[in-house]
Amino acid sequence: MKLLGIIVAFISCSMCGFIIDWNESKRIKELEKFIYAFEILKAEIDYRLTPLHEAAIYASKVTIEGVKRVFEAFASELENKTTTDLNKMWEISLNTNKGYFHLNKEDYTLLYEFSNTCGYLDKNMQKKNIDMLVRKLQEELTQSKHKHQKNAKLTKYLGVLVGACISIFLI
Amino acid sequence: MNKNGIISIMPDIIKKMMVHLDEKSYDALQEIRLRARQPLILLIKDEEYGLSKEGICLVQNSYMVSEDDVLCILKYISGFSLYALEDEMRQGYITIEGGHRVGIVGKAVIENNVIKTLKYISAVNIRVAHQVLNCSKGIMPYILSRNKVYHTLIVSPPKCGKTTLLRDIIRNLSNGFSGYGPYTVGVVDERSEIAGCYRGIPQNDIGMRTDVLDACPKVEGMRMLLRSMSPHVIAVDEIGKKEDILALQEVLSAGITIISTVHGKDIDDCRRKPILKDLIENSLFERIIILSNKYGPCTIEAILDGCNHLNTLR
Repeated sequence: MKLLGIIVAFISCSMCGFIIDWNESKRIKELEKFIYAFEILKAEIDYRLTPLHEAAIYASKVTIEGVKRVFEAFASELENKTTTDLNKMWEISLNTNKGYFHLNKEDYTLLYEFSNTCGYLDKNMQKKNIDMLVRKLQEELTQSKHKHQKNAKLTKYLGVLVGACISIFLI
Repeated sequence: MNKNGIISIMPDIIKKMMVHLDEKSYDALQEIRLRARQPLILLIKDEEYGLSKEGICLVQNSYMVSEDDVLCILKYISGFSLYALEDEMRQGYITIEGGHRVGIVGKAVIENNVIKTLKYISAVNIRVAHQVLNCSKGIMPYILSRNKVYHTLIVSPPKCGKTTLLRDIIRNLSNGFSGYGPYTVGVVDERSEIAGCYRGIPQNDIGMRTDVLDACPKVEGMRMLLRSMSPHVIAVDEIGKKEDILALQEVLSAGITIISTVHGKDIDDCRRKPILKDLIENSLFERIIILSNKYGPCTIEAILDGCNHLNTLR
């Protein structure tokens, strides 16, 4: 029984380290996909003056599950015209699909900013809004990548180490 | 009539009121006028009515439109994307699903002596699009001959149905009429009025062999169609500028039939306009159709022979 407990404690602690690392790499990929989707959205608006709901559909078509669902939900909110508040629509689209993401609070704060001036004034305003958001997401991505590179091994080994310590302590 | 296009752009409160309108009223509906802080007005069969929770009512009992209602309509029309409608805003109207035209007024923002945009939008006027199928039936024999379609000019004062007539002529040519045709028709729909395109798809029936260049300036559009779509007939609405005439001449020299409309009361009225005068005196158009509102829209006053200007209408 004691041996079983030791094994469970060791595996759980080691797994925690690996899961934290896996979450971080997932988050990086998701940020990359969001950046890509926003770039598509910007191109659609800038080059073809595509209305938001159509641009959101295009963006959803070229991205992966999760990001795809956010843009699909946003397009559907815009199409259904359930409210006149664009911020609310974007928030709903993000919140209903939170389960697909591994993003942190800061990432969401950045993403929520998108709707503040979305659809407002002219094409240049839209371009600037998306550019600013992409720049911020890029910064976050660069920092996260750097941090991940630095801490990936540490997180994994720390999990194993804590597991080993607990096991030794229990023995 | 496609009423979904109209209902979908209305704020919830007005949507609920519009539910009380029956099919008959919708079919006869010509305009919906929404002015901020003024009663909502429906124009049905040339008479003004109001709209309340109970349905159609007197104008004085009508729902008072708020600034928010007008803004809401604007947001819904643009799909929350005002940037996509910059040009339309400058021109003062937007075409919505169903081909209905929404006119907007507000304060003009001027830059370098040109209208940049409109702000403080205070009123919208929804002009309901109605197709009158077969309204050109009586005209078709006059503009068709065994092996060609005559170059035709439709002259009409505003609100007499010149675009409606042009649309039906296009449809008949495109689908074929009484053994004549069918013809490939190119339409330059500068104001999205003929085909009433929404997201590129014509909302009005303009025939199966019709290619539409939507929201495209007439001059460029005619040239583009000429080069790219090899049409038998090119149709344009409301010619009048010098450049339009030059483009028309280009099209004519390529052996393509032109069908066009112009604002005017009668042939003498057209002759008084310097640009049109040349067109008429040089017999550029083989048939000139004069419309009036005498017995309702699309009343044909005369069909003139382009050479001798004699009325051929029997």
